[in-house]
Amino acid sequence: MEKVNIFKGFKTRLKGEPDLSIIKLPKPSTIAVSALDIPFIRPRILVKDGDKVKIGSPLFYDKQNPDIQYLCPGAGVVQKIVFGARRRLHEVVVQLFEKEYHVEFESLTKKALGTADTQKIIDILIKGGLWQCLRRLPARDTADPKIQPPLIIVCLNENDMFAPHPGLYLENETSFFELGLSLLRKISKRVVVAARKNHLEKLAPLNTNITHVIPDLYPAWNPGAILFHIKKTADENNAWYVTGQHLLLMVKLILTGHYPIERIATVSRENDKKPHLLIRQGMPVKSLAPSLGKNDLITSGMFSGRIIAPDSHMGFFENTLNILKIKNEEEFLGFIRPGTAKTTVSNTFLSCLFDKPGQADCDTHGEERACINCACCHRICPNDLMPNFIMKALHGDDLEDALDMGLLDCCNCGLCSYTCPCKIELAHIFQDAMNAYHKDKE
Amino acid sequence: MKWLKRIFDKSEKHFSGSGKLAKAHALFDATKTVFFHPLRRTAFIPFLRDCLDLKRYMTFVLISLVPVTIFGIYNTGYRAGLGSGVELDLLDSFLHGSYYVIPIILVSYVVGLFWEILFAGIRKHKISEGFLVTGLLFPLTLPATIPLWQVALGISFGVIIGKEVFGGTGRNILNPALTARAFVYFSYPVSMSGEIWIPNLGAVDGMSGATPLAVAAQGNQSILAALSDMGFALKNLFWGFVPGSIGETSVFCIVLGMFFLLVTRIANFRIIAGGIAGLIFTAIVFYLFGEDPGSWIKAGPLYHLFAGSFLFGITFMATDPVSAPGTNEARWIFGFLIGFFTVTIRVANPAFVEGTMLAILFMNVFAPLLDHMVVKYKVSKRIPNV
Amino acid sequence: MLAEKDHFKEILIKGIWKENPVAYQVLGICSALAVTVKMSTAIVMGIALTIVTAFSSLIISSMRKHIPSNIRIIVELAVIASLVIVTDQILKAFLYDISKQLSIFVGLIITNCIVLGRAESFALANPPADSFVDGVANGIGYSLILVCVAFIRELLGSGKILGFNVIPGFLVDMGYQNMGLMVLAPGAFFIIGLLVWLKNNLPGVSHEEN
Repeated sequence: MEKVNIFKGFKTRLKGEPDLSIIKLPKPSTIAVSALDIPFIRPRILVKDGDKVKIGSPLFYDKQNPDIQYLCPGAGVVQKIVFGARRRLHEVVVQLFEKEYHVEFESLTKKALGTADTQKIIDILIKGGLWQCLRRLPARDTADPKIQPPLIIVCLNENDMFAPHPGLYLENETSFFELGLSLLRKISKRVVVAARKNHLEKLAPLNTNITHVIPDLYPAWNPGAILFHIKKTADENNAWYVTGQHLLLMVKLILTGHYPIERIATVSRENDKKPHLLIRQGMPVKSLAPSLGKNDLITSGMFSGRIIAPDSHMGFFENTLNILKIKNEEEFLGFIRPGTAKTTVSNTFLSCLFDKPGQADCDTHGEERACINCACCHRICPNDLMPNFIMKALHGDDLEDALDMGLLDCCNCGLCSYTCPCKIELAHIFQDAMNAYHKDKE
Repeated sequence: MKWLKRIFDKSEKHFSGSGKLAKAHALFDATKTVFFHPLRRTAFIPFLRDCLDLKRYMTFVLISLVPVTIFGIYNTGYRAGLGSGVELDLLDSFLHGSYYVIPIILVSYVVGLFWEILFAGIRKHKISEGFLVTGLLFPLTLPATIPLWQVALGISFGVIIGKEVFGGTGRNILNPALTARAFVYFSYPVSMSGEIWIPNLGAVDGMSGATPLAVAAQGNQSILAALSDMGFALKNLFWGFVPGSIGETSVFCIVLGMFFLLVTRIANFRIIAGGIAGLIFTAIVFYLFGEDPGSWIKAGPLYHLFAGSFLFGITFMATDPVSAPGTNEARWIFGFLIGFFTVTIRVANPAFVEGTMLAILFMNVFAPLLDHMVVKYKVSKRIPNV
Repeated sequence: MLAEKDHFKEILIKGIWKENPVAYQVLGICSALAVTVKMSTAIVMGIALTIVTAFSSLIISSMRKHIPSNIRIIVELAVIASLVIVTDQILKAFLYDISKQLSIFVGLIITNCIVLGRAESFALANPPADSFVDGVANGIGYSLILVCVAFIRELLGSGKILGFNVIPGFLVDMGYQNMGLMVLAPGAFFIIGLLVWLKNNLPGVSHEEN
């Protein structure tokens, strides 16, 4: 096991870490496939209201790459297709039947999987709607099955701080996971498995498969951060990555021939000890977090997710919900309070003296100002970028300069925006610039 | 605090839209946000944000200036007493000092705030907190006897030319407080020269007393002997019972402020450490190779460190993040060169007895270049990703 | 006839205000810094430059069809240099003190960008009458800024206007001091910068689209 040296990151602890028990949620009445968490998709819908679908029936595909289909994780009737502004597809909602049927895909036995050729496996994965689990850095778009990646990173942790613990979803699944790794080795010569340092104990059966150990601070387990710290040459920039849970799903699809629908998810909320949840893909948000108030903002990942509407459904890639408090009371003389209970990475509040988990709320805690060049963003960036200079280069429309300074090495962890005392939306600016650059390149 | 909130809510309509006082909206907004920390929900990733904002950031610089300001007031009063031949006790010194210093600070704030509001109104942006620091730093660099209209002109120049022409706090290349001081320094040398006029109670004319840096030894005396003859022993310089600009005299109080800024990481330690290293290095070089025993060449690093405004400048002026470089390596160089130029100007330039202000302003101009070089160097070390 | 008058007026306005050589084209800054400590020198310098620009434009414009384009700079410089030398000698003869204060700067009108600039960009392409007006306009535009700067610098820097003390005695008694910065060269930088800023940004005065 090789140690990845990431020193910078978010060292403060936050309240609301889920515990390690698992609760199975009851079957919901509706289920949906969301298009909002799929990168760069231009969907074309294959069903209409009232159509009957099975588990594994395609609901829509990506116009840029018609092979990549998004399959239905439940059997029932298409209830409604939700569009947003400018007719952007939000989600396809399916009302579930009591009894559900599967679409049968081609399956392989364990032995056949070992000897099957790569193209065959790729075909099964594409047909089975799970190829898109493999994503390509730095833009995080869907991997191109026609090329061989320089390396594949298996991230046992998803992006968020409170993402599902790999020890739970990998429990008793060691053999499947190993099959998954052998499958990835067919696609790429080099496969990297990275695990958090304090997860190693729970991952003991897998220890021989773990190649890299990463320190236990956010966002060290972000594939962008891992890649930045292990890459030696520029070819490795376009590495692929897949999360541990998705890898298991891929193996299950190939072995059973059925589209797998179960996931392990977490819901985190301040002052609320929540267990891990066994859910189905695309469950309604309300069934995961039933007691939502008016003062809650729901996100799929508080650092790098998206805001989820309370009456919508979980996305294909999303297994975490963070519920953040909305502050309604303006604090009297807030800027000068000693702040014993404020979450901060700076040394300007008394709370930095105690090692207590901090509160999280979705307020900016201040107004936007011009950058004062304090380099707080550089101090915290896990990939050692200089976000203030990159931001200024982008502000001056100098994309070349920004790329030189490593814009594409940005792992979208959001810590620069988090720490900025001037409240500049650095992460958002970078994400926009990276997406624009990616679209331009395509 | 409900009543205060109600007052703000009620008067808001006068200051916004077509209200009578809509032009002063920036002032209203600034006052309101001081009392009630504004709420703004995050719209983009990450959805939680650090509690530190610019208001708190700048307020912490103000807090670090409190010891210096209080001692400055006391020392001014004490000096004034000495000037008229009376030894004042603590409270009296403080009261007399306030009589001189408080008006200077008030004028600086009021006039500076006027320009801030004017520009905020025209440009439709909010009043930036950076001004809080400028408005206090500038008076602390002045002698207590400065005429108030010069304070007003100085802060106007600092705010307009030093900051607003570039677009406000965050976009300036020079430290506005030092720009203001440089303006007064070059425009009204009589008020600002090395000879500090010690205020004299009641009498029309004061008596003059040199700051330590203006001391030069007579005959065969060494500079150290001359300094202690004039009452500038190292101990006095450390505690600050010497004539000088309001805020610069007490090394002890400055170190208190420096400690606070370093612990809270508001100021970058690299600039301060680099500056002190540069000063000590240069002072030693001059000490070893200098010839004239009666001048500051032979004063040695400790005297160079404690006398004059170097510590004040490197702690509060050079660490202003806007005008200092933004990369760590450049900060070391920046600090070191400030120390180097301070000593060089002190000993090698007969026109200026004090070099800190010029050294910092000079390096402010070079800060973007240092940053550029460091960034280019770092870029060349990266694995390219295009 | 009326149209012609309008035509000249337009050239005048363009040279003096809209495309003012100092404030808009940022030419001739060097001499503007050097001769604006006092108003008298600024006025003489302005007049000298106006005459040189006007006549050089006139002469070059009338020769424009006969100047081979590859040696045009030499011809232009010969014309300008002759005019400058004549002007310099006249100043030395009749305004010796001021000419001493202006020192080298009258001689340096030869290299002043305004003169050559107008000759290159206007006189070579326009008839003599137009060029003459254009030269006068640019000269006046330059003088205008120069006199403004010199007025401010002399007033603030030494408390005088055209050499006469204007600061009332009671102000000095109350503690008024002259602004030393204005006597130094940076003072002129600041004043010119502020004037340009005002001219380009003040609503109602500016001709630039914001």
